[in-house]
Amino acid sequence: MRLTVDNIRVSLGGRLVVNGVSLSIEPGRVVGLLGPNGAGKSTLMRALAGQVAASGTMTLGPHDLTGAFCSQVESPDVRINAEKQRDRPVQRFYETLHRSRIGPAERARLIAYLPQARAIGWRLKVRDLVALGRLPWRSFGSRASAEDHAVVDRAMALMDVTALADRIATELSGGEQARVLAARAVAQHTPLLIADEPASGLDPAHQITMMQALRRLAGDGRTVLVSLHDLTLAARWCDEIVMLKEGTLAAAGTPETVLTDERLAEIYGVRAHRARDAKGLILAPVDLIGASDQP
Amino acid sequence: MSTRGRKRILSLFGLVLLAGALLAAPAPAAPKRVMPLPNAPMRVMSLNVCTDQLAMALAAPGQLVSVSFLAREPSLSMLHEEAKEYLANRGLAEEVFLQKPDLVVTGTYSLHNTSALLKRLGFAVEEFSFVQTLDTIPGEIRRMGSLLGRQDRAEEIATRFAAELADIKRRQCDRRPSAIAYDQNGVALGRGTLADSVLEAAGFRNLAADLGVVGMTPFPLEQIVVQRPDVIITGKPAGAPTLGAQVPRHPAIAALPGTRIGAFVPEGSWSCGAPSVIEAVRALARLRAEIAPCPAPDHNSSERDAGEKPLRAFPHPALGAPR
Amino acid sequence: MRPALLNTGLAVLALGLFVLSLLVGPADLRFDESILGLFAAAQYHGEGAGIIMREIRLPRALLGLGIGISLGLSGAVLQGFLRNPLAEPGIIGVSATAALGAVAVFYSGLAGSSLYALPAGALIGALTAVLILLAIAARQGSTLTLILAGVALSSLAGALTSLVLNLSPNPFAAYEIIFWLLGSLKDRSMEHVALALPLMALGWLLIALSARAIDALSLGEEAAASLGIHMGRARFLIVAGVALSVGAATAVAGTIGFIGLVVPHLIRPLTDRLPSSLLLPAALGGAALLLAADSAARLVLPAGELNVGVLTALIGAPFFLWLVMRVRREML
Repeated sequence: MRLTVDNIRVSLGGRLVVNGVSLSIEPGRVVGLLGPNGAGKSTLMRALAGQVAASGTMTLGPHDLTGAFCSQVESPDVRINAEKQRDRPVQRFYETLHRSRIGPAERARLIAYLPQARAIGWRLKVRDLVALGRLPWRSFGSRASAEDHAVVDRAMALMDVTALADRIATELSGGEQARVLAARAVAQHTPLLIADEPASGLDPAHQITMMQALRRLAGDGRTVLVSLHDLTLAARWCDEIVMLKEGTLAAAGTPETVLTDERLAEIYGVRAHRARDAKGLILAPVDLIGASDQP
Repeated sequence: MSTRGRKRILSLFGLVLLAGALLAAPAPAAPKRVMPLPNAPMRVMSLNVCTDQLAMALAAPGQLVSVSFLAREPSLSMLHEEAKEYLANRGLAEEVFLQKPDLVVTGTYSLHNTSALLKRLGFAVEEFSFVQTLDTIPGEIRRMGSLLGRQDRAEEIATRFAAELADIKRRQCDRRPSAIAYDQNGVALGRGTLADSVLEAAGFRNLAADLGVVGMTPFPLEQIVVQRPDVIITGKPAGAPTLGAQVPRHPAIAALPGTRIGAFVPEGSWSCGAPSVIEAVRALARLRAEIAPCPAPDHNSSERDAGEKPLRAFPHPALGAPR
Repeated sequence: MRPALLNTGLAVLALGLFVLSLLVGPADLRFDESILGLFAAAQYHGEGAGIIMREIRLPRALLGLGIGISLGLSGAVLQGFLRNPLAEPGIIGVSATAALGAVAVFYSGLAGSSLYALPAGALIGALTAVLILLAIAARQGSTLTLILAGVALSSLAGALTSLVLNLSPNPFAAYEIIFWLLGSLKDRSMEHVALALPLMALGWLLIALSARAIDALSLGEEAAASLGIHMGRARFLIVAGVALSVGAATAVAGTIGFIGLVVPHLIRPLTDRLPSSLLLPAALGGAALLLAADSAARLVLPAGELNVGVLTALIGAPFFLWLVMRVRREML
């Protein structure tokens, strides 16, 4: 489904962290969200996932998700935000109208969100943990159906954790846990997957596994929005890049058009070595701008 | 909580209960102007609700300066109205020190540390034991009388008490219904308690004592249902509610057919070995006469068992003989 | 272990201990007498066995069952919700605050000497405690914060309970401190059952409705929200459910500690460790443990009778220490 967001704003602690971002993403695409630390990547993703209060509009295919911008996790910041909005009654009324359009359960069948923090509360088996992704699809108190099992199996296979199915998740390595948690989000089987830094902390092989998995999801017609710090991965595996800078959209487009030397210098302050092969761009940051040329 | 701790608390209860009873004989129309003997104490302070009762009954006007705060508690002290005329103390050594009494009367147990401290500070302290029965009361009255220099008044009260008690006892017969004093938290009063001697004098069998209960002891609710006393004497609920007060009002007791449940004795009358206990004896003797009237004296007493049931394991018509 | 097998086993155990609880008491009733007393026709109503079974032992066993379920269930749901293996209504101060509420309303005589004052006050107390704890500790997510907050709350509530009882104009009130701090099921009646059981059952229902939420919360609040969990509603269900069941339990039996801690821990390894899989077994296990402890309390000291809260603390406190040491090494 096509994702369209228009003029998203999020303020945290009285500071505008995301300031009017608009995007449009075609289905079947892997879109990399890039930007230096503090550019607002995570906040934008949390807003799109309905985790923090935001203003703006958002549609996914035929679904108007504007109502998803209600505050689901009330952080103290959001409360401050809500207070700030108290003197804007018209806007609050508008948001209230939209809030009823879509409930958390329905949203969970449209958007899967993989948070950056990797929290596993109990000594769950990998398979049981991944199966939590099926919660939005199961009615209260029902057992997992054959279809649920099949989806969970596919998700584990996709993330290369099938062999770990009977292991205790808390006893796995950090990289293994990351893939297991990603499998949970995949098992949610949504048209849109939002993944916050899914590849960080993985070894090179599993970074590639992760990106391949996301590509395969896109190949099934799903939309994937993934934030990355690794420019090489982003350049290699993403169809499109969205570059944020200080809460605003700095650039959007194919890796070739967005990841130019000038923009890398402007936004990251780095210089990169670039090459091309049959599959596209190979980008490797090599030095800080202004630093000496010593290797 | 340990049994030891619980026993301790129970005995505290006991002392409090015992401490109130001595004085209530109808305020005797005694000569008001009688002064204590020349060498008698002029400022007397009582720290215990039971010595309060004795002292208030016996002291000459102005002689008693302070009684315990519990003396104002209607459930413990029959003289609670009179007690309001005296300064109330909480049994603290400092209070005694400020009052500078020339005699302190208190219980042997309840304020043990205070007594020792006061003695060390040079106060004259007289302690009264409240493990007592009806028979010890005239002696206690006389002892308090001589401490206060009011022997004549004490003799008068003690003699009247003994005579009245003897008169009530004389009117009893072999028909002795069973009774149990069952109060706060399901505690029963067994052998050796004041209540036991009162029940005995009024012509009842004390169920708790018959079952071997000594002193104040928790008595299982189930045992009451099994034994089915003819009378259950409970306290009147005091002003503010407590959970313990609910126990004697348990539906299992209310369901017992043919058992009378109530306060029956005047409030505060038998909590202390004081002259007021005679009120309790009188009230219970009346109750007994109503439940199981004694045959006229010249009758032969062949129907003596009417009011007396044997102790039993619980009988059930469907199950044959009790074990 | 298969869930069905586990639940059946625990249900049978709880039922057996329920029957045992009916058979234990100072009146030496034979088994047949007890059964007759419990089920005999109306003409035996005035008979001793009937009165003992129906008015004394049945309410006691029913309360043991209901309160055990409440404590086990509350412990399991709190641990799941707070992702904290040490959470338990007693340890985090909910029971103590419920007792304070009951004491404050009942002994002040505001409601006469009506027993209805007890649950009313206890519910307010329990609710206050849960809300305070959520405000302080839930967001931080730190095991230590929650336990420390609970310790402070427990001590404060215990001290205030003693204060209220000491201030009561009735001199006997002060002796009931022990009951409120170390609860008991002694001499309860059907009135208490009628008072507490409906409230507890409503609490169980609310807790059961939070099953999905606590499962999803295994992955943290953000992931749970993205799984379609309405956090506000989940919080309400758990706060109200725990306040109702623990409040009603405390109102009629005082503070009975550690059941909600011990039972979920003993049973968790037998489940797939999803918090929702633990709810039913923890409820049944809680009932079994309390009924066993309450029967033991009557057997250990037949005449004086130990407060059951003493026994559960004797079992639970060392267990808690052991758990603290273990949690320090590995987050469960």
